[in-house]
Amino acid sequence: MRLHDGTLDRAGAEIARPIPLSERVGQWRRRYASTLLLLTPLLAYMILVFAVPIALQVMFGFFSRELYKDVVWKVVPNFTLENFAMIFSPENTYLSSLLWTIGVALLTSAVSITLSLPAAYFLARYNPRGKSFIEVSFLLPIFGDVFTLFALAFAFSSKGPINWFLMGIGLIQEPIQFVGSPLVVIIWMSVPTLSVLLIRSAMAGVDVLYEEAAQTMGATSLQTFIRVTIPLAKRGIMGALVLSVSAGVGAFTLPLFLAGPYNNWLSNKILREYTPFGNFPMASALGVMLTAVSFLFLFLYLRTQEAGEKS
Amino acid sequence: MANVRIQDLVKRFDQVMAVNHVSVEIREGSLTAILGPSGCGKTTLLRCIAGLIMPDDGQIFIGEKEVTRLEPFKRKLGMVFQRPSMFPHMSAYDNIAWALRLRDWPKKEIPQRVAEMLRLVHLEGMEKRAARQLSGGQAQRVVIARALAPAPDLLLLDEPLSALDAKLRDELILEIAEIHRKTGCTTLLVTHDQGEAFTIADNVLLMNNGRIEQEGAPLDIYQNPRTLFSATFIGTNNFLPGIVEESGDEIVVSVKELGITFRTKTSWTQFERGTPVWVCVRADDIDIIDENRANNYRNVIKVDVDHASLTGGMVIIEGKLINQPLRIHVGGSQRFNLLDIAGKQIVCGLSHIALIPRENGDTSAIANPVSSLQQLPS
Repeated sequence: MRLHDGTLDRAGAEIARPIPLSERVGQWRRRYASTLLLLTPLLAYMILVFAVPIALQVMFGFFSRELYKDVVWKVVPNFTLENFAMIFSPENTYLSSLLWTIGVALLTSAVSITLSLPAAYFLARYNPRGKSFIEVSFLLPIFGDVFTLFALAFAFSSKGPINWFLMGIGLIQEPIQFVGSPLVVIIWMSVPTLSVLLIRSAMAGVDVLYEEAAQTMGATSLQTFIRVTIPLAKRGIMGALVLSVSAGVGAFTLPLFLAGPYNNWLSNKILREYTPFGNFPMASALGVMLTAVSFLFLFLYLRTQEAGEKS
Repeated sequence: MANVRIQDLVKRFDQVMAVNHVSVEIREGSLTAILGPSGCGKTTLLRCIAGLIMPDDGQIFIGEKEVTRLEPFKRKLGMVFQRPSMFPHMSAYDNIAWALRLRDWPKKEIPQRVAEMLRLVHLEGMEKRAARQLSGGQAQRVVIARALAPAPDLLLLDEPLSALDAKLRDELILEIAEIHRKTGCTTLLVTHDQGEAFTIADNVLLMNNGRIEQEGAPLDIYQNPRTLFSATFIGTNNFLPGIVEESGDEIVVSVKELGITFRTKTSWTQFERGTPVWVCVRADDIDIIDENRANNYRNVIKVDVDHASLTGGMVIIEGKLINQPLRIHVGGSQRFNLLDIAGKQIVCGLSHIALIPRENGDTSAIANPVSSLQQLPS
């Protein structure tokens, strides 16, 4: 083994010597220069429209405001933790709003995942006619957002088909006021959508061999499903759950349209901080909280995926 | 434990008859091998017995009970698959314990039974291991233990060793035989490996094209193939087309093309005079002898040797009987004296010949008289 200066040490083995910094930079530049060049436009774009505004928002969260000429509120750049203190103060409803938002997201995700499991299994194991059509229709509530929202608002209205049906079978005497109450939002958020497709992929990856083995061992189809298929698809199911929760935490349009503008969802409260209250620093602070929660769940999601890859 | 009775079983996949009117009875406590090339329907037959696929027609009985349309979990059997099927999310202990719980094994006795089963498959102390912490052979042993733990009526082995390497295969096949001896559980082994089947089975079902070609003890199938398929699938054979000249205690067959007659007293069936038959001579039933010892043999032939090659434990001699290519396998220490016999003529005594019915005028096998397992798809 030769050393950098071409000499050998006494045992003839290589001795680790620190490579000078200038040389390392040079190596690094040669290796990554072209990649960096290709990435530059995207990086610049991302920094400009994403990173900078986010950084500003986070910064605003630590600023206060003052009334300018008794007319408009102005952001004052002096560092304060007051906004966050207010969020956690029991006098305000922010914290309860945050907990409500997370709670609803967890509940509706759990319901939607539970409902997804059989449908996903069916799609993973059988090949019904119009399979792709069925699969696309699970995505419709996400991409056809506004259209489905109005259809839903109609369906749940006092004279809509759902009340008509419930009254028809004699379950209720008076129409239920779904629209304007959080109930309809919760019902709609519990509808299985993307999670069906995510879980279907996970279940398609479970070898049928294990299910057959379980059946020859004496397990019924249900026992096989619960003890074999679900545990083996656990990674995909957890992923779908966490994605669903982090999407649910950020729900905005749905509560706004269906439960009215003065609902308890934090995303809608943030909007109210902007207008009519004009409290930009508070809106930013709340936004930071909400994003942090979403981020936490997404982080958990990535962790579940990576943990699976290792094993 | 139970016997298995299959009556006129049929299973079609599209236009292919995977199982074609199969009727067979499997003796209680036996170890039966279903042997055949891939695509012969042997796995389909086994999966019908397991209930993993429903047959189109026919009946299956396990013991006295008809199970033809029964769901798999209602049949009391254990199954081992070709690919390792140990549940990856459970330890070895849990794999076996779950099998016991599913069959309502008394709760208190489960730990003891699991330990007993792990001892049976030589995996003591591996209770806590997950599938990824076990070798392929060990994982397959866990599956065998899992299948046998609830003392099933029937154990089904679907090519359990083909995912393992050769050395492990030899080891495990003997272990399966030992486990069968200890438990006495009626066992069905599906395999395409004649060595595997002949090593451990006490009964062999030879399958081809969805039918059972021949059934019997391994030695019987080896010595007395009843069809051309049986003879070609197992071992290396030489075929000569003949006509039965004399029937009775001793059957005499003449091969007109060569002007030679063959005699046998051990034919599996009587043939009428004038019946066209294949004279089937196994490559390892041909002994090289001194001319003066020739009267010890009922049939003696002279072979011109083309060449001889040593493959280790055996010498393969290729030569001609008049104009007919012939292959001879010689084992034992005698083989070392044979390496320089190319070009010479040797005298051979045939220790055994078998007769197989032949379609009149069918001499197709003459063109390719020697067939070995390697030439067939496996």
